[in-house]
Amino acid sequence: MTSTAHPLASSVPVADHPALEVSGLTVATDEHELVSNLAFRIERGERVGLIGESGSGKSLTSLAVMGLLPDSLTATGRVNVGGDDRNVIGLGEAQAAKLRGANMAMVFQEPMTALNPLMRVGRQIAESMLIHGTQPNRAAAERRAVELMTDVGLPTPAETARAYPHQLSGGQRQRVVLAIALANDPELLVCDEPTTALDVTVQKQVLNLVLETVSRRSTGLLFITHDLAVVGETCERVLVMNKGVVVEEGPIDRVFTRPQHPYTRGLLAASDLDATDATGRLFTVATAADYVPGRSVTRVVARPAAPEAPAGHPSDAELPPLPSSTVVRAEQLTKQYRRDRTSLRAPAPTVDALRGVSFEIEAGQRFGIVGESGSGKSTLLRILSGLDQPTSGTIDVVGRRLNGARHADLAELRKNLQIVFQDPMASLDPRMRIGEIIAEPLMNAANLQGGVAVSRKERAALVAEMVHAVGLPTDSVERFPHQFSGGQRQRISIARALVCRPRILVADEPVSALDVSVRAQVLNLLADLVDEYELTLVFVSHDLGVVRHLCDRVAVMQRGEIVEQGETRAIYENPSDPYTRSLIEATPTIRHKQEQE
Amino acid sequence: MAVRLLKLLGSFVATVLVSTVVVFLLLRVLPGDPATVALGIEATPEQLAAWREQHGMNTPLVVQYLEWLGGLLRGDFGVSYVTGQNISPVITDRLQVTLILVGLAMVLAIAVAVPLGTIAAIRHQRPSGAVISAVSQFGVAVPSFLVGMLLIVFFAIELDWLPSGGWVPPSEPGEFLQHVTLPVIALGTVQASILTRYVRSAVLEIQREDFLRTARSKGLTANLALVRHGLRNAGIPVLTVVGLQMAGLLVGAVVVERVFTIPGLGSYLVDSVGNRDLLAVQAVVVVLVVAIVLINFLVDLAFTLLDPRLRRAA
Repeated sequence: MTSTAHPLASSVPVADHPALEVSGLTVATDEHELVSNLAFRIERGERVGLIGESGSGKSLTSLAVMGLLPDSLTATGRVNVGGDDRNVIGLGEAQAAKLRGANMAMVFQEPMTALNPLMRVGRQIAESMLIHGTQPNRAAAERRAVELMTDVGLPTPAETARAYPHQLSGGQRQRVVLAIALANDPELLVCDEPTTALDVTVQKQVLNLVLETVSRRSTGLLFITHDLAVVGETCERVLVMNKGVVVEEGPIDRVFTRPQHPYTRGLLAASDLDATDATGRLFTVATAADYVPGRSVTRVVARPAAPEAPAGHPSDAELPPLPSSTVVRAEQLTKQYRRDRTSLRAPAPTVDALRGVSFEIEAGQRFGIVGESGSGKSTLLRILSGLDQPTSGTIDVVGRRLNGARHADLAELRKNLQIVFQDPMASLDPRMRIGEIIAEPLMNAANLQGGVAVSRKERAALVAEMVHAVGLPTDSVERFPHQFSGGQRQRISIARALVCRPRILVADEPVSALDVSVRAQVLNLLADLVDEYELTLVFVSHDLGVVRHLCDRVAVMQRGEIVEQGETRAIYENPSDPYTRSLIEATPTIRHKQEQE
Repeated sequence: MAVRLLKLLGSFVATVLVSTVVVFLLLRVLPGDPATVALGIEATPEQLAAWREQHGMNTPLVVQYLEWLGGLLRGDFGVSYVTGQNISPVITDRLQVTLILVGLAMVLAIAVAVPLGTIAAIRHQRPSGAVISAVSQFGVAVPSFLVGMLLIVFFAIELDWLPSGGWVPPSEPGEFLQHVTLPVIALGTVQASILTRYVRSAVLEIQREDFLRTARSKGLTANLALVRHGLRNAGIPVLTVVGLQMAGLLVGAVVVERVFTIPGLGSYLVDSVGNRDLLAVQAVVVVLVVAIVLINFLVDLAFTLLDPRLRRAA
């Protein structure tokens, strides 16, 4: 890292020991400035949020503070941590390493990959203390590691210390990473999206743990996230970053209720899934001017013709009560997986992914499936889309039994049911042009036999129509996936799913990888298309807010069972199952903060 | 752990058994009558028949196979039709020579490749890294017999430091070292070049891992983090390559054995094929198969020891 100290920085006083003092921080490649002239300060025990979307420079800021920027970037300015008068920027690797883990420590986004897979976790925690000599020897450090693991709420810490990372869950691993970070009692804790990869209930526990530890030890907290709701529940003060610049800064209460900068207002509006504009659509950064924080124009589920039907059958009112209106019927579905044998005596263990799941989806419904990892929602989705067979029970989609379905039946299924997948970056073939990607479902045998779009010209016309419908420029068909952003790719996925005019659209976490402002656009698009093409929507998500906005019925899954299902509003306002209640309570919303005002 | 070991052991035995059947049948299918080979083209039909009777060739194939397999299990490879020699002691001698050669060459290759490959990865954007990459690329392209010849020209003929060929067993350490040095260097440099490239890409890959960033955030410098947390992880893919290289060298060493006139297993195989010595060929091929399967077994075992994710019920 080639660096020079900021010219004004030498006079910055360090006598009053803030946890972190940043001034004139600029991070650049050879061509662009990625972070421009950043200045802020975190007092000891203060919790500061840094929010922004991807590309805003928030993660680079955290890496610069830790002295972990990649060599290809140049940093200038001044970063002082915990009263140490050495500038982290421009400090040699050996000197910077002495500060890392002692004065400042960091918790990263992805707990699954943040730990060395070949080392027992207790030793990974102990190493932190041995590096900085805060414990005299390995035995003492490992004893202290077990204490730290108790502090971060890991069950049976002495045994867990001997476990390898792959034996722990995501939440447990994040607790281990936190224990590593806290091992030497740093003055500054940097958290970069520490809970983004975790389930909501686990997120809540980890956030509470972070909060409790920093306040007990008066550690300064720099909390980086794209999720405003999480910042709202964690921090006292917030910096809003956009394109490398802090556009707004202030106490959470003020920023969340009286944002000064249009970008902040836009982020708030797009994050607020309870607020919709006059046409019942979610706000985007572009349409946020009308957004009034804390007040919803329409607090109902955003649908032009919101059904006022008796609970349990909300769609009866708007659909003719034909017997054929049930498009999906699942009865007592179970699915068992067999694991590899791990012992000579015991039989191979089995996993019950689904334990008797029953539900019906009527034509035109928007059916939400909510659950955390391991709840069985992915297995259910695979069975529903004909990618897997249930162990027992029956499933019918548009009048066809999927149990034991043969190839031709599945081709017919795929004509009627299409899927939009979670990861827009990985679900498109990088070597195919967008036009080919969107046209591919048309090549399905059932479509070709049915005489739909047999000629190249007909297909091109249908593709062009879909490209237009999802709001992409006409020339997109000639381009390749890498030339599009995440939101645009998800539009491509939607176009691909809809091109053969399915009756059912299954969306598997379609917006969880997207920035909030893009998320609002994609959700609006989905809602519009569902109306326009008269689709039945099956929407799978871990995010209750999104499901609440989009769906009129919801099924809550836990450990392979549907613990509760019914009309969305009824379930959210009056959950009868304790698990549903805990999910709703654990979900952070920005409304919480706004309504406290 | 026990389950995994048993599985590995089971597949080891199965592979060896299947390969003995294949080798046995393959050599029976090949044209050429062993009796004619043994007695010459002027032998009378009566002589040929008597020879066949004497060597058990009139019994059904299954019986012949089982008799041969029974011999194998006792370590008896039979007597060569061509030379009349007992095959087993020859194989033992030859195998020992080749194993020493291959083992030392791989030790040399690993000793050179691991540090060089790591440095090349750490400095991949700097000139020193590029130089290592270029040299190793070149090394991959040069065949080992050419390296052997060049070594003989310089160190044996021009400088007269070391003998140009021949073999002395390790029971005479001084002479042994003199004779083994050049062939090991000839075999090892090429393997070192190949391995350097794999080590480099494995280390480059590992440098992008999140857990190295975690290690640095604990207070390790980038280089120390790589040594303490990275190399063992990078070792897993490299180990696969080492296994493949060793297996390849067992036979591949023959070119260098020829250059240095060393009586190795590969040379024996080539000679036996030339002499149409059916039983000897069969024996060498089975020994090679067993050795290669054994190497794979050891590599798998090493994976299990190295990577806790593979020993689930430990």
